[in-house]
Amino acid sequence: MVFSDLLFLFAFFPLNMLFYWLMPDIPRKNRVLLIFSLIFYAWAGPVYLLLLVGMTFADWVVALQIECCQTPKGRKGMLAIGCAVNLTLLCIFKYLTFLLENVQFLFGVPSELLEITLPIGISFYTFQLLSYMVDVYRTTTRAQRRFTTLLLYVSLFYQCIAGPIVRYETVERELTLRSVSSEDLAYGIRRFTVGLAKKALFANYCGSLADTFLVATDAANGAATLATRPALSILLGSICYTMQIYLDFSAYSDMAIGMGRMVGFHYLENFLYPYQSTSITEFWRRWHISLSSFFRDYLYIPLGGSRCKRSRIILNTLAVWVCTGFWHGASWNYMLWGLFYFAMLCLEKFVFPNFPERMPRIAAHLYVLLVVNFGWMLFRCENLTWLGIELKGLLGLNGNGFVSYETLTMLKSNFIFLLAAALACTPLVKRLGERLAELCQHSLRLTTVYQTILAVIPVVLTVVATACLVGDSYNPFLYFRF
Amino acid sequence: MKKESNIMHKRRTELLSALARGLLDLIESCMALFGGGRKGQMEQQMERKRQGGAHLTVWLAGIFLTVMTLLAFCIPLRPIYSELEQRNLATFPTPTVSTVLNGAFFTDVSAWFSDTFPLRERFTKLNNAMQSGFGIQSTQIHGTVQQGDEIPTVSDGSSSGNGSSGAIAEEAQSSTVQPEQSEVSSAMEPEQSDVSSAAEPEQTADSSQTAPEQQPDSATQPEEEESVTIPELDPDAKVETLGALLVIDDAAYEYYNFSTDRAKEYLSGINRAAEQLDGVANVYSMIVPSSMDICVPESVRSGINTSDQSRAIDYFYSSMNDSVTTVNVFDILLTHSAEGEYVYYRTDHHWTALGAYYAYCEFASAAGRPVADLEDDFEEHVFDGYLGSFYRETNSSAMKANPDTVYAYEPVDTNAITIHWQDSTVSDYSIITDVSDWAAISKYASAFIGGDNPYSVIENPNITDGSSILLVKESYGNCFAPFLVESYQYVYVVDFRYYSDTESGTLLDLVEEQEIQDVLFLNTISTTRADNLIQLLRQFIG
Repeated sequence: MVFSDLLFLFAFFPLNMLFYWLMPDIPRKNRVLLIFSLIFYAWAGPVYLLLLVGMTFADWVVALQIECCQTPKGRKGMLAIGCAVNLTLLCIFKYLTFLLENVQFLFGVPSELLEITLPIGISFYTFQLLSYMVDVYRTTTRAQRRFTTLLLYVSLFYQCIAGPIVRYETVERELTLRSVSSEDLAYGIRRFTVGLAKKALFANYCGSLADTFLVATDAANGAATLATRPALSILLGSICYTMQIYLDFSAYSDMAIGMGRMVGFHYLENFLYPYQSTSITEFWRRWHISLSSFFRDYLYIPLGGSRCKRSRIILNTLAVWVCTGFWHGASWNYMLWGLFYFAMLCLEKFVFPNFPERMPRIAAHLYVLLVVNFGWMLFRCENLTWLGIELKGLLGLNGNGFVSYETLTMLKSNFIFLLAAALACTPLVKRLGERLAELCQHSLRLTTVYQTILAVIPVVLTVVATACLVGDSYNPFLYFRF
Repeated sequence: MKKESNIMHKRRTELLSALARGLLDLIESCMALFGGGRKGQMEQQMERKRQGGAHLTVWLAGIFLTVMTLLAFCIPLRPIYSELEQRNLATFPTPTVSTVLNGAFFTDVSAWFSDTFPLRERFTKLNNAMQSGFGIQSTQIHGTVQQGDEIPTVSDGSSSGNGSSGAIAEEAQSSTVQPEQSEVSSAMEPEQSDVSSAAEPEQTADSSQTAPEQQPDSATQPEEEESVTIPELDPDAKVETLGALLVIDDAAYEYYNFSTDRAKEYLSGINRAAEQLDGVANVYSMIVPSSMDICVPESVRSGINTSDQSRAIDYFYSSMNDSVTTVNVFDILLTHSAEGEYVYYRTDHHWTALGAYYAYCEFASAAGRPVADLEDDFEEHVFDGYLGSFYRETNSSAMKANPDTVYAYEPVDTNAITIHWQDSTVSDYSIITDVSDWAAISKYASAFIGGDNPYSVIENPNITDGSSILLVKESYGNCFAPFLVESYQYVYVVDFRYYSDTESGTLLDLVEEQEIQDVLFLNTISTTRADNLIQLLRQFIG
């Protein structure tokens, strides 16, 4: 199940809220949340629920042991065991097939490959558990005594399968003690429906446009068809994909944050309009914040961070980007993508320190968009041959010229949509809303109007999203597979 | 027991009182939001308004969600068939141990839930309305355009390269289509688009899906064809899948991408039939172009990534055995279309019966049969309000506002046909059926010879020369068949896609059994690049 499933919207979620509302106190409300979360997770295949519960159980025990241990050595040992268990399981389920493929390619053995299905959300909840254990080790937080509470933290369906990677310390208090005001509820509803519309109206259609301009990666004869596309088609396709991946992923975070707020959880923001950055360093402070801060706090800083020799800093940065690349998928193109960002960041940090700042603002924006757009091109093609065709095509080296009738027609017949989607990637609408609120705040009558509009918007957005989702088979969440 | 019922009672009371409190709260907050609030300071009133606004948001969303949830669970309101998409919607899955364990059952439940959502058509309409505002022009590309292979130049000694007839056709096209250009190009100027396009990345004319071993090299190895495994046809499958479409206002045109491998397979089928029927019956082949090359002006079409159909047809004809009489209908259709005649539908991928009539005239002269007159020998029926496959594919509101009209021509000699239906029953039916009251989207499929059926026989009581013809066709042949009635005593019609479903034997068996004199293979050019159709045709040929 994903949040933009009609089954989720009009069956699972309302039932969840109804039962939640009926329960008189937090322990019982938590029980409702836990049961619904387990059902949500099991929807994709009940077998992997065992993995989730088992891993949480192991880490629950480990964290308690870390806290009990008197000696620093013992604590370290326990932490090492915990991390080893988590990372081993992650590697087996996510990377083993890929590893064997490469071994087979190089040495011809093994002759048959295992087919391991990736358990949904494993990358996200493993990282949540890792942060929990390390925080207990660092005594920034206390170990959770109740297993079910820890399980709720890990499996809570708002963030379990596609992030944000919520730190235990962020929600520790709210797991047992939280309240909801009607403002919280209203904010949560708005945030959720905005995310839903972003996903259903913009991200899905951007995705189908990207697949038309750039050819769907699973299309039969796709590579041959791609080779016939003119440069403009490839450029537009990559732009559509760039918009899709932001709208899709940030929509999921919006919905998670919104639902969390509806029951009293305050999650941290995961995206801060990354496409308006003026440097790549800034981009990564605004994109998937929960992931980049995870790598910063649990990998980069423990390795020595920035307080060491330059060569060591570069090595630390490299480690972070190799991990970031592979975290996104078990395929070489993700690695390439990670290394590309490593190179770009080194360029900004060491080769030409802070050069984007010295450019005119507009040029800096353009520079970031170009780099990011190129990055997503690497990201999209798991097949490196495809990537080659795509890059050649972008430079017009496939012999198809710059435009074709089909491309121009597609552009014209989707022009308004593309413009709207581009605006949806910027904070423009949000700013306009804030401006409107300011304008209205000095008049009682205008406040009434403003508040009424605010109340009607979620309903309108949901109707629009439902119209897009009914009978539409194209509805993936990109980050679902990580 | 008593304790339990007490608890239940308590719960119910709690729930009711909570609801009552909530409603009071809603009324209060509405008053706070909309009421004047005479007392108190400005700040306080503002705060109350904000509170009222939050309450209103929560209540509106809550009521809306409740209504939608209740609606979603009104199972009888859920549609089971989509008229527009012409398919049965997803059904609720039956759980088995394995599908529950691997999650397939749950995925299917989700699919059922959204596919059959109540008010489906209304929501789809809303979606189309929104999508029609996406662009600044009404011309659209629908689907993924596939690159066609290079069409081999005709190698029968004609040094002109393109093949003589192709050159003529191109000439004719560039000269005769001129008058129409202005009309279409004006239609392509930026204007509020009424046409919608889901632009789904649908897989189109799958030119790479055949495994290499399923592609016998050419006609040189016909014996290999026996070993070809023919995929079973799902009875619900959409047999003719549409390729990418070019949508201009209220009309659509299907892309055609020439495929060398498919062309060879198709040709080897026709040539095998020619070998088998050599000395038994005369074999004719007619490949009908699609509207893309007939109705779209050259100025637009030259920029489009679609293969040249005239050249492709020349290639096909020149690669057929000498014993096959080829009937080129490209030029005649082009000429009549350029004169503004209605030879192709705008909202459907078929030709009209009028287009079929012109092709029939070409064929009848080639076969040396009397050519019937459209006005004297046929009675015209007009069924308006037809919306065809292009409409179903694009949901275009411009097409819906301006549907096609089906003209059908009933032979004056007889309107009786014996049909072997797909469900294996045999009964008498009418050649032309009055479809005035039928659904807008099934008029073509139902008006002519009862639609697509495995095998049908027509006998003209007024012709007694014993002449007979077998028409091997897909749906393009449906509106063509009635014309043959006025030229032959016996008309046998086989839809090769369904023949083996109900009948046994192959082409040769049928021809020998019925002592058929002429055999006409009538195919749309789309068939010559559709793997599953070619396989079925070859299965019928045997």
